[in-house]
Amino acid sequence: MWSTVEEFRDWYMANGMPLRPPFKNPIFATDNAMSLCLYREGRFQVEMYVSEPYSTSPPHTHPGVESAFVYLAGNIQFNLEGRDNPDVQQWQVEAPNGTHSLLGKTVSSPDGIPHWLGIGPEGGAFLSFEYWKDKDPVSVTVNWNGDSVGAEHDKILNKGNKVNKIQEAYEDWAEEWKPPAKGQNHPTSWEGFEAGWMAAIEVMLERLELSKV
Amino acid sequence: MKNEFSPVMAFKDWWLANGHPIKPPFKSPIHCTDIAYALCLYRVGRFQVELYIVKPNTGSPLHSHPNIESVSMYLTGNLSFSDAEGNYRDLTEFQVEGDQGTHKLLGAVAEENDGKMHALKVGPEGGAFLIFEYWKDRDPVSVTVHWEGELVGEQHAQTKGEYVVNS
Repeated sequence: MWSTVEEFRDWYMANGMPLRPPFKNPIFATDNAMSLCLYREGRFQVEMYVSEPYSTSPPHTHPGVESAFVYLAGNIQFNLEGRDNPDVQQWQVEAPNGTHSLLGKTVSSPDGIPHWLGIGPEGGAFLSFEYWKDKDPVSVTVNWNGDSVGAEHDKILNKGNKVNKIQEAYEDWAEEWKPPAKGQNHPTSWEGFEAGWMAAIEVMLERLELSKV
Repeated sequence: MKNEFSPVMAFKDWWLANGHPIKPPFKSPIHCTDIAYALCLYRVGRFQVELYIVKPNTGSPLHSHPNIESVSMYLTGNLSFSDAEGNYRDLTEFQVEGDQGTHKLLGAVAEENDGKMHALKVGPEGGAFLIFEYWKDRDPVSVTVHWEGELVGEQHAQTKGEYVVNS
């Protein structure tokens, strides 16, 4: 297995870029972009993003995710906070083999550093290699901290946030009612017991709903 | 019936056997409509392969891509192509997880077509497929614009623009 997102990216590129989209949560759509997970293994995955012409995303982060982007096609201005972001217009030229001159070029996006995109008239496509450090991968479209790209994106984020809040409530309850001492292995109030199970049921129901997004 | 000797089937087999090279062309690689985004992964001469990612709970009306021979290969999600009369095969039994956590239909041929009418229906999971194309009478662009029939919406009309199918 890999220990960094760069190791994963290098392995994936060197091994024929396997096309193995997962059955679960492979596709996400926002107001101006769609993603398809091409490969997922443990805490690592690679998503392909295709963005509409003239679309943008505001500065945002993907908490707990180390990312590396690989350029495929179109006109993409990738900006990273604290870095000198060169104007990509100078590289909007065709390579001798008919591809984009930036094909295969990569940019690392460390966890916690805001980044934002600007897409030109041709649209844009790139690969997002991801290492999810503390949870199983879904899509960075939903693991998003910052303003959304629009109403459709809001819908997905609100749904995800609601699940996370219920999950946190359930985990708090489970921690609170963990047996503190030998022999105490059950909740000591009906209210606590009921609240915990209701939260658990809500988590399950919300996850079922989320899988339909 | 699978035609092993058709030019487009040979192109598909070649592309898959040669590590499915992902080299999107500089010219016209991306086409977006109201229901789907397409990226051309590889183009050579009159052949190309496009990746389509389709939004959940959508579909297209009956349409055709004249003079294009195509083979569509299933990647993931919940999608089905109709015949020329708009009849869909029920694929519900195949909406299950296959080996290595992928979709059971990964790699299966979803449709072979030679300019005939067809339509697409996509379920709540969305859908993704590859379409291998042989453009018999012109250089390839995208089947999104080389489209005869009712369009899927306003964005599709904008993307198609002034493109003429029977030029």
